[in-house]
Amino acid sequence: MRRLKNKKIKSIIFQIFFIFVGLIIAFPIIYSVSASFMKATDIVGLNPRIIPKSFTLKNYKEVLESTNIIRQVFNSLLITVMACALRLLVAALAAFGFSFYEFPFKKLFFYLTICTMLIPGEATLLTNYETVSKMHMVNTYAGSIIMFIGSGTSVFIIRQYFLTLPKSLHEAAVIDGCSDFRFFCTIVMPLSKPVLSAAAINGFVQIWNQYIWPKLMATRTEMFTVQVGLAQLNSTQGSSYGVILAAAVIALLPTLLFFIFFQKQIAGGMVAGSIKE
Amino acid sequence: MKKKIKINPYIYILLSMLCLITFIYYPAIKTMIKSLYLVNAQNRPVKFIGLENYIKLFSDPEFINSIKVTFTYALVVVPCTLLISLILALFSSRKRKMSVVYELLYAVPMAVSVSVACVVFSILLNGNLGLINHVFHLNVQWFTDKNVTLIALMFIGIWLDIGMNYLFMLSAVRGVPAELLEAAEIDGAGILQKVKSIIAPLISPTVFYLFCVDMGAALMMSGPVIILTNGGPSGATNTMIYYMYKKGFYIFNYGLSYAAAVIAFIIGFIAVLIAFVWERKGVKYS
Amino acid sequence: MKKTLVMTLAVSMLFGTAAQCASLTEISTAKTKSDDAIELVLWHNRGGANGETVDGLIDEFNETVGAQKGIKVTSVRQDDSIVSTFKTLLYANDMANMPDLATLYAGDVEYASTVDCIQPLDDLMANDSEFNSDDILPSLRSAYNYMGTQYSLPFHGDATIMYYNKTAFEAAGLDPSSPPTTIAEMAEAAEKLLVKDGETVKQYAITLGMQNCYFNNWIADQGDVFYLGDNEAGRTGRMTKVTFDTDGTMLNLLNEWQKVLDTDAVQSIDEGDQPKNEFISGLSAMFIGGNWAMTSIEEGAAENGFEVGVCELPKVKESDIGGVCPGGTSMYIINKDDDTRVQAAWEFMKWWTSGDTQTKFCMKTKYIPVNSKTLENEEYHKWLEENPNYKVPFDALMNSDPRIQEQLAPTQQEFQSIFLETCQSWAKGEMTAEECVQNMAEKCNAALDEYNTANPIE
Repeated sequence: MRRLKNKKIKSIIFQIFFIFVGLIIAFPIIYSVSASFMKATDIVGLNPRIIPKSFTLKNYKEVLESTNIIRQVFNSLLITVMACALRLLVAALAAFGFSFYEFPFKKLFFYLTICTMLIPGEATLLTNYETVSKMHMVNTYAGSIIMFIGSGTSVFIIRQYFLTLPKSLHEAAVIDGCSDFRFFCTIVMPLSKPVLSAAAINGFVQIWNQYIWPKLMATRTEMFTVQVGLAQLNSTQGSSYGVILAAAVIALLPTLLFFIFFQKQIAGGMVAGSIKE
Repeated sequence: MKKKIKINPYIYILLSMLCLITFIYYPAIKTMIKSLYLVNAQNRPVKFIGLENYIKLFSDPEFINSIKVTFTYALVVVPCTLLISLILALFSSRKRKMSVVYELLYAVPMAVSVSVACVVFSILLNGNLGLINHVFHLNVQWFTDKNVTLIALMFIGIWLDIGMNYLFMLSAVRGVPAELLEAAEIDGAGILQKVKSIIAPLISPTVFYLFCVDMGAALMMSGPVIILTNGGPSGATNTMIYYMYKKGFYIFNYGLSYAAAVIAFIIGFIAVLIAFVWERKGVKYS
Repeated sequence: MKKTLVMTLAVSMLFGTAAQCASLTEISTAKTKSDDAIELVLWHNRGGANGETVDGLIDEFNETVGAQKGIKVTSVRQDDSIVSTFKTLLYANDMANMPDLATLYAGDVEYASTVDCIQPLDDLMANDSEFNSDDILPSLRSAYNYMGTQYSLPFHGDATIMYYNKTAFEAAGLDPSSPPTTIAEMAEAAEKLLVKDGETVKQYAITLGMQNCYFNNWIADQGDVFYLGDNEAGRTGRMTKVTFDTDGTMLNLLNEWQKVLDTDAVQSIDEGDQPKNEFISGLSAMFIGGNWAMTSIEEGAAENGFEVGVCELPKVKESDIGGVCPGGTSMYIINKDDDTRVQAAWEFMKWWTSGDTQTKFCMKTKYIPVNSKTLENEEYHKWLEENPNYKVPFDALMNSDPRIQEQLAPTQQEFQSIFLETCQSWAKGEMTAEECVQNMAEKCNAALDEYNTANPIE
């Protein structure tokens, strides 16, 4: 009885400590939220504050008044959700190919896939714009989405996970007369929920925060994404930090919601016993 | 087994390869070819000059310095990020009542874009008017003192990477079967021992992935430099890709700029190859 | 999981079709409108509250002049890198998505002169009896005139002035109504403005690191007009080398500034908004900047409880002609091989630069009107009297020698980092003024050489 109580106290202390560490890590974000309610002079000044001296909604008012935030959130969500779903699907298929088969030039293709992360965006931007504009996709959602589907790192992480699945699983499926594609759909994908969720969160955040490409794809105001719209606030000299931070906080909200929703999937983890037989 | 080339695997990787080749390798190869030319400000090749851009590149002390800076940055940021996120993942490996809260706090930095992070840190680390110096009674010029600016950028880099690393680490750590850990506990294994003999091998595929991706990102680092320091002071934060950016967008010498991109790619590629040697030896998939 | 995946896909498809429909209806409405009105797209880079003002004025145009003449202007807010977006579209030869009107910064005029689709304005101006080019402020007009051709008209005007903290001046025993007029006087004031508490400085005189925007003024207005580089700093041809080292102007300036540095009351940091923020916070008592900073400074000063004064930019030496380099953006017409569109764009440009429009625009944004006709507006006159601070930059620009202009080095950004960094080491005492000038000249010339090799002058 006593041991149980001790354990409970220990657990509570641990949790308080963990949350404390978390607050330090998330401090820049907590601070941004707090600063977005401050006057400019309280953010940078001789006595910068952590908690607003006088709570003001002026920054948010300016953001909401000068941008069509609802349309922009819609655009961003549409582009991000579609691109992210397609990215996962395409990456999972490729990862399946890389981890369950042996074939000529496999290494080459795999290296090509992951080395995409070593090519800076600045070096590909002009040609990509040319390509997409020839496809008449400027000012369309498709033009933004298509650029974010291919992702070497997504293939890479999913492949890492697929490789840990026991080979026996595949063999058993083959013996049962299960086609490879069915095996992929009905066994591999459901088993990979944690990694797919992590990759989904990662992809969502990454695409959501894209700026330069969506900006090029939106030569009309109706097509602005959140990031493009909010950057306009920052663009001319004289915008105060409070407004910029308020904009950043607004842009952060949807990612947080997405995150909270998918976090459970990761937290659930895989049911280890069921496949390790 | 008949010797027949199966087409199945190619179909699986087809879509992905198609996207990557169209939007990354095709433009990249065009860029690579341009690095052999004199390229004008309209980004059109003017004259074929062979390897002249490369020769210029390697005789430019600024570029050599940028390689050094990039490696210093990468060699600090990558291990630190991995270590911190591993510790955080171990903290939260067991589900507790409040785990949702601290999981969110640990992972949330990933939701912040590079440009927003730069704005926030430039406010917090502002030399005379910022919160950090004020609260800790410091007088550090984070972005203008050449001895600390790179450290400030490393700090921002680590902070930006922690969230994503933590998330993948967590999903790996949670994947370690509980019965294995319990068995070890009964045998009287300490935490470090458990990490070393059970957790480490089981999460090695994820760590390997994170190592590669972090390394790649660190070698390609340029965003915070462009926004916060412009490579300064005295070249202390001039990374390879910032060098490329500057030559292209400030001086409009695209040929040289692209040559720098090619060299950066080769350097990164060598790093990836070395990592894959490690994969064969140290990464256990089952 | 499969279910979730299928669901996600289905939802996103649904989203997609909905959105496609939405954008289709937009295109079709745009088409029906185009039967009776020409739709012009304008890219500008005023954001936030100023952006709202611009867009409000454009709506006004559409309802009045635009409605009469069958023109509808659609505004698209771009960021500060409009010119790179423009270059990208140009590279891909994507005329369909090009705007009809775009605002670019003053330094881009040389680049604009090389672009085929940018419409020179001389004929349009000459053929329009309603337009009198003499109404446009001479300094601003000549800023966008490159080698005899008018490539654009100013969109908004801006001039460098000095803001000073009247309250701090008073506390230091200085007369707040007679601010410094030369750098030497700045040094005298600086000595008094420095407030120390033991070793920590409570108040600096100024936060300023020598850099491009100060040189544009302080090199040019010494003695008679001087230029930073050859070919009148790139205005009568491509700049091939800098001249500030050989004509002694830079050394002059640095030596004068040394007097201010010697007071130990200067913070030589000049990254982004730092000088402005330190001025607002009260940490430094003077600030050199443009009209763009006026609104936020006045707001900040009110919050922090001090009074702001504005004066003309101090001269380098008493004997200099003085004057101020115009800043701001200008509006270009992009010719899409359609003369009616060009004519329509001109109608808008004419309306925008007119005295009436500029009056409304500037009273809200505190920029400098580009049209001297604004002075005939009574409302504006009254407003000027109520805002004496604002009158200073306006007068300075009106009276300035139009030859004082921003340098047009094709590698401006690089110059900026060279100036900032080298002068910072100089200010810290790591090199002498001579070495600093030499060092900057060498680096600038190297950048120019690099540019000119890659872009041979035809």
